[in-house]
Amino acid sequence: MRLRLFAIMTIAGLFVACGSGDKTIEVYTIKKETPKRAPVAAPPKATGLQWDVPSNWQETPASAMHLAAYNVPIEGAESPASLTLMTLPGDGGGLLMNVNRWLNQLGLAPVQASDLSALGEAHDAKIGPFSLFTFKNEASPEKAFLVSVYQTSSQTHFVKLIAPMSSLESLKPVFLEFCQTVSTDS
Amino acid sequence: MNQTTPKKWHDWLADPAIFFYACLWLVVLVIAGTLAQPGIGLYKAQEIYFSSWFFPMGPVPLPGGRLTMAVIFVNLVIYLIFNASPKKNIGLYITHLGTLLLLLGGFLTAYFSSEGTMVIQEGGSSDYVSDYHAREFVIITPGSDEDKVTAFGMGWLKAGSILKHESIPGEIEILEAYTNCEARRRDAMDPSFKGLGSQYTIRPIPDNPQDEQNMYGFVAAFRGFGPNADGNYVFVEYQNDPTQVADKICVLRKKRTYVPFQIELIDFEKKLHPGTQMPKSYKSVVNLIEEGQKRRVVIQMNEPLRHKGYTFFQSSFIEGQGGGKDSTVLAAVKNYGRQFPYISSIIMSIGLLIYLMILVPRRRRVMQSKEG
Repeated sequence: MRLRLFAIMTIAGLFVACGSGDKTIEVYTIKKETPKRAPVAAPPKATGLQWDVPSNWQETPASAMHLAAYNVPIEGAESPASLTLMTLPGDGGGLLMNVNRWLNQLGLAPVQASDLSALGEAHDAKIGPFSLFTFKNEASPEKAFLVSVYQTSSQTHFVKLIAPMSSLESLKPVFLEFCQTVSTDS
Repeated sequence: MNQTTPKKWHDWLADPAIFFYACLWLVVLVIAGTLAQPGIGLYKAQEIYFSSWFFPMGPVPLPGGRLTMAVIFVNLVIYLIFNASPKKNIGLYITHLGTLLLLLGGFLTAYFSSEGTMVIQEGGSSDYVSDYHAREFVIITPGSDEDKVTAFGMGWLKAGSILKHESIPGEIEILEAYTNCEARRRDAMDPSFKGLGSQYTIRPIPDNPQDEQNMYGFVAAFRGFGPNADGNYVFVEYQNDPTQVADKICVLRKKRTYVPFQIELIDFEKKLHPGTQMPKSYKSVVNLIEEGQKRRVVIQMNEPLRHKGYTFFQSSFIEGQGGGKDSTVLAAVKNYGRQFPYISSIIMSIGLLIYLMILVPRRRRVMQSKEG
């Protein structure tokens, strides 16, 4: 009789366990995950690009990823804005991924591919057409971006200016003028 | 005077009529599920008709496949415990045991099996399987070497649920939850929301019959995470960047099962039919990494990798963009009940054979005695 009772209790327990559904809470530790960004090769320094630098800009040491870096003076401000040029092979990871990366750097929400055309302004440079993007977050006005993206058949070139949001509009004409001078040296 | 013994409770529960009608009802469910599947998709049909305790037919709740099989299970167990005797008819007893084992296998498959995908880019490795259907909301506390993960199962992702656990500082109330939704950019920033929600709103859309295509999403209120972190947040699957709440990282994603080994993709090869873009075959050359040891394995059609209860099949691939690296998509299955149908079929066959071996000579003797 005890065996029978045990069997019945086991079955009852089984059904009670089944009723819990997926209302589970699991706590575990995992090895630190590295961010899954598309790996990109380090760009060659010699890319065959040329540009005209305004006389009041000051060249600064560029990192391994950048072709060149400049300090761009801001009228009435002590700290200058910083501008960098970079070239990546192919599509450089894709325009959408890059735009969302810049948005993320400013704490903004990502966009969909369909929103890209509305975000960028089309302009022409000596090298060809390029898109100019303005990224700013009202909630963090200390940093905003102007970014130009040039897509060629084999490479993508980026020019990025980082400045306080308040001076972005005043820097835009000079930034645009600089971007239009970008050309190939061939 | 003809006296009959009153039926005991186990006589009622072990009544063969219950088994008969329950099996008949299973046939009805199979037909209903098959007819419904083209409209609502395979996963939903399976969930409604076969994996449920009850399902609604208009205002009437009808017994689902799980309840029906539970009834059969109880019926058989009670029969075997109280009413059957191996001494009386060993053949039938073994056949019933085999049937019970089959149901037990179904139980293990339903509750403990996992199916999903492992996606690995060439040169990369992975140690987890993402479920095809189940979602989870995880709160990650980053550490220096390890991350602590608190994962809330899909059952919590319903409006009104309060998510609390000692591993997180406060509580999260789910305000709205959708099994399929679309995110729309707000006309202006909404300061009452933080993270993605300040720029995007979500609204429900009809479920896609292909459940994998549905995008889960919910709106939640965070309390007790700190004055700067508390507030309303929007979460959707496939967010480009996870949401940061104080020092925690919060992600709504397909449920992950971590495996006790790593698979590293060395190379992915695909062959196309000549003159077309149609793939002829895929092949993944991988390293199985366990305790620092690497073992080279090739996974291709009809040649899955079986390891520690998991089976990895070559399923699909993702082509690298702009000449980038390809990724392989492996279908991963772990099923504790995998062997049960084979074992129980053998047991049932043996039981029926013994039954016939005993029954046929007995019948023959009866016939002979009648003729005599």
